[in-house]
Amino acid sequence: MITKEKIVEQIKTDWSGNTQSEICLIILNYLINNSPHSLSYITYGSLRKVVGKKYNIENFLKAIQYLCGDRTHLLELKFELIDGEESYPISYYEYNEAQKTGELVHPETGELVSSFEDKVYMFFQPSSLVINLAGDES
Amino acid sequence: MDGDIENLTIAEYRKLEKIFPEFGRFATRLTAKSYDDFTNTLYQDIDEIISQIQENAEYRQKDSEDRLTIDIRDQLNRLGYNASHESKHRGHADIIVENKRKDFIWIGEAKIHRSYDYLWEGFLQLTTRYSTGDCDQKEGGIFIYIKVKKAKSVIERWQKFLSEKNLTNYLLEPCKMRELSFFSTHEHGVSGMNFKVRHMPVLLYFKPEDDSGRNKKKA
Repeated sequence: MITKEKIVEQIKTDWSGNTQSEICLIILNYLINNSPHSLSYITYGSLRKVVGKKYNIENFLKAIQYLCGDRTHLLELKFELIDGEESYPISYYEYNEAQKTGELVHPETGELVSSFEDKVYMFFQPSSLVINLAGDES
Repeated sequence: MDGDIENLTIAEYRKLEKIFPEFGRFATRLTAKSYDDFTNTLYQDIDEIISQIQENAEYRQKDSEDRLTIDIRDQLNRLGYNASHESKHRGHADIIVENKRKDFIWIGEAKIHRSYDYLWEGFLQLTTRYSTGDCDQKEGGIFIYIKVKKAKSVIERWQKFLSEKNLTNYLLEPCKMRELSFFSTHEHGVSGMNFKVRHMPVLLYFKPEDDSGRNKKKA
């Protein structure tokens, strides 16, 4: 069973005491100490605030990509299309296709979305692993 | 640089990618839908790691195969890959990268170039011991740590050596990402399907011939 202690140990081992290790641990604690419901839409900006400006952006980005990856998989990367007042979830498959073709098909209308890169947002959610850990902690 | 970005659009992510190229592959890494997507990004990441190692070749002269391979594994892990060294997989392969979302596996074998027979041993370990060649692991790789000069001629000889081994359905392809790397494909003995191997030289020869380099030798 994966415990918080094991994840902390892995983060520290992987980053051997580098700054990114501190950032990852701040985010881990933030994810575990808040209810998963309140974290259903974590923006880039909100994570940046949680971590604090004392850490530079390069280290912050490295920590985020590490936490989203298979290695720890604490954060789940999500995409959504905001079109007018409505928002539509974009699957990894749709994102992948859009990157390859340069075109995004609107998930509801089936029409091409103009300037989709300005309308698709990236955000984060706690992974199922974090939700389980948060349950164990409470 | 991020100013006060609150909500990150793909367009803003692209801007960050220009400044921090490795972050640019972050979303691509996570959203790979096919094995080819997975290896395409993995090879770009590996090439960048190799480039970093080569930049510090002067400090790598005494590094063992394991030391070099563990450094590659560590860098992959920091990018978010789940990479392991010597973990059990039909034996103990040098590097195994597992994509847990898609259940893809990529296996790498690493050898310091001593002889072509020694590289061949690595090739056999990869293709006849550690891999099955099934569709979830249809590619692998060999890191060739080259501590002698003229890596290009080492690679050319290695290509010739391989072509003389009469591997079934053998095919050699250049690598578009990196001129010194290349791909071989042959029929995998376990699966009977084509198995693609990326051969990746790591250039570690370091004998500068300028004044300070010569003086260092005398000292």
